[in-house]
Amino acid sequence: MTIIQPYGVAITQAIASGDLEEMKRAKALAEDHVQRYGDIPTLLTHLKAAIAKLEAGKTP
Amino acid sequence: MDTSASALSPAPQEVPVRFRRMEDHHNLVPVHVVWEITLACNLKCQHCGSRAGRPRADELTTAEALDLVDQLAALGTREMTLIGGEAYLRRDWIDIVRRCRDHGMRTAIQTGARNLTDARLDQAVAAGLQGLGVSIDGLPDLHDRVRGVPGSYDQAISALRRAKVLGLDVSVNTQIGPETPAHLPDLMDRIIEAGATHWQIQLTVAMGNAVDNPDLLLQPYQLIDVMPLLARLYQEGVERGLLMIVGNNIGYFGPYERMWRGYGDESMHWTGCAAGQTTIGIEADGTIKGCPSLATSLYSAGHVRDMTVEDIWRHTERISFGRLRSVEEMWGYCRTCYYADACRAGCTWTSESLLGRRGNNPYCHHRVLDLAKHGLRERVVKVKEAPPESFAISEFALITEAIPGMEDAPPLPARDPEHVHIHPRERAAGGGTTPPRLEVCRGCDQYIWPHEETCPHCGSDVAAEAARHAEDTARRRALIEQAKRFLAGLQTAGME
Repeated sequence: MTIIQPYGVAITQAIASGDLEEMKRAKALAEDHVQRYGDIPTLLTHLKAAIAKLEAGKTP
Repeated sequence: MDTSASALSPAPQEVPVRFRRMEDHHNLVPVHVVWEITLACNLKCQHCGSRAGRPRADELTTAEALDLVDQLAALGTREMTLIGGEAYLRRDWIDIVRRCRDHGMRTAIQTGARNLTDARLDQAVAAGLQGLGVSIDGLPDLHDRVRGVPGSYDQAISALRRAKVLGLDVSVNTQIGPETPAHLPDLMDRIIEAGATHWQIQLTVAMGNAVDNPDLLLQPYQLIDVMPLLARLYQEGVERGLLMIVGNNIGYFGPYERMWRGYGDESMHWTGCAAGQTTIGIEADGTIKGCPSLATSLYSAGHVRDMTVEDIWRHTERISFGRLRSVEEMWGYCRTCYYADACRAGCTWTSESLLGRRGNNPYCHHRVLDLAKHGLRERVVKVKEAPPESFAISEFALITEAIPGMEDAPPLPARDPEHVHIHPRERAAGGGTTPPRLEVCRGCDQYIWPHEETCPHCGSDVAAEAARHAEDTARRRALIEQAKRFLAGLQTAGME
């Protein structure tokens, strides 16, 4: 599929996708749980490390 | 960010109707139509390409307009954007919205929102309008000055809020000029607060009123600072529920392309100007173009009072230029660029309006970065005024100069145009072709042609880096699945 964005209304049906977004959602959920119920250290540590690795890639 | 349990595995989304499928390309389906239904406007925008204000002398009648909708539906149009001027200054605009919706087209308007009253919004929603895009070019002082009417910013924000309450999809369009970048972070806060979910960004183009006000044009070299800012805001926006949409003249390759063109789907990248291939632009008098913004004098392909839309679409030369062109018509830096046959010099509207000839586009991040490595930058200077007509273009000189303090950088190497990779394009029975498909080098995250064994950007072994990336991806996917199972278990336990 391809996307074309001429002058006009933004494409409001589009959503962000990808591993990074999914891991960030998981991290937010895990952090929410930690805040409410206590630590789940291993999962959260792994998620943070994986996110940092992806975000710190060669670009951007 | 939504932290409800369902947010981890959101329900599968419908593919946006505007996304082009391969059969759309092959069969030349005009998927998205942008239609100026009147040139009447109640703003006085200093950058207005169509010089809107008074209606055109011979705008389509209601019967002609509704027939035009029917013809577009028959050609397969799935999305309609009504623009102006100001679309709702046309008395029968509700009838047009309703006819588009009767055909099942996704229908929205792009507006400056001055005097967009509750009554007008209510009528539009009742007729089936689905989306409202509001043009906002900065914080109040800048916006009101550029739009030429005090108080227009407040009216724009008000329209966003009211449309959101009515259940419309609300988005914002922002044009980037030299003063805009400093406004963007605060503007993002404000439009999120007002309910916008999507934010289309595009550069102001040297057309119409913008030629009269060249100070509103970003200089190409300024992209080197603007693009990282946009990238940062893109990432922040995603976390805050606002998806930045980079318009057709934000481009084209470079470090952010894989991040934002496909909103995370790296298989979607810039594939060249789509004017006349899957897009139609219409002027209020029934003039048909391949893109709404193209210069009328150069790209008016026909008139619906003289021909059917299908005949204009399938058989006129001026609409089909994008289907037939090759790298041979490109020139300047773009002619020898690595991405030449994928990019085709980006947005035709932007490059041709600026330089009087399509095929060379200095508003390119890849180009700006490449030139900077060699101590060079480009700026434009107006050398000719634009005539008073709607969608009029003029001419700017393109100046390449040394970046102060970088005079000793290595010179830009000479590149042989014969070495540009040509993507084989087989024409389908429907007249269209398959767009080029690039891959991402996992050594440097830049797009490369699929045949590459050694990355031309970073020199890495493409296959080895791909294997390493595949392992990383598998580990990430396993972690995500683990997180899903674990968090689902926590949620179940919490409910017991």
